[in-house]
Amino acid sequence: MTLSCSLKTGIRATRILAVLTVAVAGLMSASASAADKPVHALGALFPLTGPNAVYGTLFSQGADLAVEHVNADADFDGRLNIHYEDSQALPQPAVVGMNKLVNVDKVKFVLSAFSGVSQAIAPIGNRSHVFMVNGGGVSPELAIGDYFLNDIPLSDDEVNALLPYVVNDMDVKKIAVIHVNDPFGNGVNKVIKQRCQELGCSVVSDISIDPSSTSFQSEVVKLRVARADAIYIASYGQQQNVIAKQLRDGGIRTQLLSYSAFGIPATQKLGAAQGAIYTAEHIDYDANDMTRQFLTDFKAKYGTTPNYYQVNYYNAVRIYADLIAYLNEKDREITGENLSAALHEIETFDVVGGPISFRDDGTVQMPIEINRIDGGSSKVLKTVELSE
Amino acid sequence: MIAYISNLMVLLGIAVILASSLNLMVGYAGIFSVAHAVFYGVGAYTAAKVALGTTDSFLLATAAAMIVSGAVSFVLAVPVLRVREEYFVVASIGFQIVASTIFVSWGAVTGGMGGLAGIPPASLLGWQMSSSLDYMLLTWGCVVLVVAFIALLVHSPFGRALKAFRDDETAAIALGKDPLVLRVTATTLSGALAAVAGSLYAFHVSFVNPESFTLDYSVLVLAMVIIGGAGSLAGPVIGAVFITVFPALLSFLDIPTLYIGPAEQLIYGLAIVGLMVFWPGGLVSVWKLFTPGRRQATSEG
Amino acid sequence: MIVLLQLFVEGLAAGSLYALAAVGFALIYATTRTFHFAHGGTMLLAAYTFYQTVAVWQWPVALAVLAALVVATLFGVGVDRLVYQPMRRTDASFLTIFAASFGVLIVVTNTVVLLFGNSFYSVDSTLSQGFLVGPIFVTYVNILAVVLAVLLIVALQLFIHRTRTGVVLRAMMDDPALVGIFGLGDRRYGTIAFAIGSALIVPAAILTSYSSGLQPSMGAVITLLAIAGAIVGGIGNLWGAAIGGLLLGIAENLGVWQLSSSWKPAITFGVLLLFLMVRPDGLLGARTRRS
Repeated sequence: MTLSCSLKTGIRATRILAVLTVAVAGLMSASASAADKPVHALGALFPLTGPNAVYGTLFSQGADLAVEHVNADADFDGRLNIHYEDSQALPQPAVVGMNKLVNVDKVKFVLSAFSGVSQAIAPIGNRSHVFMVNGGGVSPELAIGDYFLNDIPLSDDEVNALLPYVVNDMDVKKIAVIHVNDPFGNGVNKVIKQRCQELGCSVVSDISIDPSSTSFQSEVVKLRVARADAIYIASYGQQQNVIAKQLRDGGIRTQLLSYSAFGIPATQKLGAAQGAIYTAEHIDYDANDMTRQFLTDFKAKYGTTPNYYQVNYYNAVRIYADLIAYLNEKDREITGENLSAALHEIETFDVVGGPISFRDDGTVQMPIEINRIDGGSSKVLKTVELSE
Repeated sequence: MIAYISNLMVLLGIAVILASSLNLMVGYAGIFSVAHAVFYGVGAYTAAKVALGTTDSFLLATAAAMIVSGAVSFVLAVPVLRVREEYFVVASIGFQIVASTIFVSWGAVTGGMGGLAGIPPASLLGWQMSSSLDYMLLTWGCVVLVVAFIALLVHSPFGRALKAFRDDETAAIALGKDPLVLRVTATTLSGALAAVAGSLYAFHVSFVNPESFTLDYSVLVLAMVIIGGAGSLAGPVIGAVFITVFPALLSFLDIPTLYIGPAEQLIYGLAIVGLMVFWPGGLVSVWKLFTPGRRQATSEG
Repeated sequence: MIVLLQLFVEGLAAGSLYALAAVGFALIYATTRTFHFAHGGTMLLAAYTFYQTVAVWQWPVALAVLAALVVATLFGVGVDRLVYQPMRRTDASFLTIFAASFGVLIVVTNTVVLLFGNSFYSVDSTLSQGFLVGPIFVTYVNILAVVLAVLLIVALQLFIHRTRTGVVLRAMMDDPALVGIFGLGDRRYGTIAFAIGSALIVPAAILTSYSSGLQPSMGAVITLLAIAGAIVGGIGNLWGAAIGGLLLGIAENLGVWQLSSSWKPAITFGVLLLFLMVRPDGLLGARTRRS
């Protein structure tokens, strides 16, 4: 080797050594400070990229705040740490992410979102005894049970709350449904049809669209001809906004109906969505101390008021912490099976919005509020308590 | 770490099988198909249905997958292969798109966008698979078998007839070989072999849905063949390695996930353009440039 | 009945835009025998240029249109000069050129994704609204699409029949070898064909930004539609390509009368496959020579 060559190699070697030293030192100091408290990792399968990334941001805000609160709690013997994987709100990448979380990161608890994603990962979690909590997807088929929980009321609850109001109080007889062709959309469509049969309204048009579609000229044509009294949009994120806009552009002034996904800021502010009526879970923001603390800290950290999605994922993380604390108290190992046993033993959890408990099929019951979008934000028209 | 690497090796093995089987059509029979993901998908769905409904035996599920996929290839090949080569490309794209729509819309069979979930782990002659390592062994066993089969095929009279056609059609016809029979056979075999990859995929990931079998994926497999070098045995393997390992390497750099996907594709696109303009023989031909001494030893293909 | 009529109107508008894309593709293919798969990339660049200039930088519409035209033409000519011509000089096979063209489309699509992200954009304007004509709702974009397509395609026909450059192009379409022999230098004329073909797709790009919006995948989609239209109409024939594009647009939209929109691409390709198997020379089956 020439002199300059060996000099370069020497410099490079020194640099590498330096980096390694710093890295090792960093690792050692990190483990030293955390050595006292065991780290409890949990996973999260959120859309970090793609057209539904807005939900990923919302969800993680709730989850991150909960981690902060739990880690700041001196009584809690452990530190929580979230491993985020990008699901892009699609089943396929979600499965890849779930496999990694379960096999490589070895988590025992995963936050899930979106119905298609949840249905795809549920068998993996159930087989590996890893808990999954969904706080965003609402397909009726998410009542899977076993290791799968929903801390958001599923869409059959939302539809069951909305339709009587719409049929009786708003005199709607003919409903058109435009829904995504995926487990969620098909599920909602089915529930609407069933409920309409009982209530006496009729579904005059039932249109299924591709999850990735953004051009709805033909759908607008069909909807215009259907002359419904109300159009129910079962889609998400960007797509639901495009649908609303293209409907309005196409001269359709019909009343729009939808579900909790309409709660995202972009839809609240959308010109085409003003006047739309949608359902969502009802959160009592004055229910208990934890709720009030959550509200204050959330506003301080993020500068906005929270919505139900953030509450759900905050609650999911707090529930995990509660389960761990319970097992620690009883001196039992933190395994999937033990967490499941703990869940059944604890029965009721005190979380933001009040106490909640899970049914056997992993679903949760909460009051549903009916909102209308006006002037860029929502006003509650009615709160419905569904009876068992 | 082992789990991560085994997982990568399984995906790599699947890619090698897909690229090699496509190469049979593209490199040896000279048929440019951008629909390979369809046969991969048909194989995966079939294996999934067998595993969910009947038995978790890998052999049976794969056999069923190969038969169905081969049949579909055959049924399609017969009318469509009569078309001129430029049009065949477009026809194959069209076929891929129609197939994707069917995967999504035929909910009763494919489960639509929700797909088929909860596929049980595979078992092979009493060996019940559970870890990524198991699947890695299974996959590479299959890779060896598939590549060996293709190698034998290529050196057989059938293979030589195919190459004759690829190199000079008029001469081959003059020698009395029937182009359609050769092409249809190559296509059918190609589809059946792709089904092996499909079956491996279904068992390993335990979930199949239309997203894995789109036009984008067909293009990716074609890119593997082209970049590696069509018409040689090593080419598709090199191409598959390049395209599978490259994203894994990229993920160690600190590129935000948002950019990784498009950045990879951009690089493949540039690689394809660059190679086609300067070295249409693919990476294999570039490699050969650096090993002149070996030229006597390596035979064509 | 009204639904069918309405869908027919949509089909007419969509078909007009496909016709523009198909004619551009056919012109390029017929004169240079290049399967310009990257044609969709031209549309992609034109559409995003238009969006960036008009919606983000707030340029006046006329300037934005000009920007889109410039970018599209430069791209088309650039790909010809930098990719296709060097390959033709080394006598590359059809498949090799096709693969390179494919590669270019992939590069363009992903460059757009890196610059703009994967989400969906649209250009807001009153143009996407419309009015009722009897029971049928017609948008301004619909009207513009049909009018522009007719004007431009007729203008193109006049060009290749009445101007000297145009006549040379026509000669090349009939027989590229001929032009080489008479030394008219098909390289320069080939470039002109690429320029015109690429420019033709710009109106389609702009109108689509208003109506359906922009998405990176639209490049691949329009390429396939252009090729399908050109083949169905009879490759090598410009009127054929126009009719082919129009036909596909109408068939696509009428088809969703009973089926869901997810079937639109399948319908287009169903029609194409049918033609390929039954009548591969297309409707106006022009003479086609193998290159």
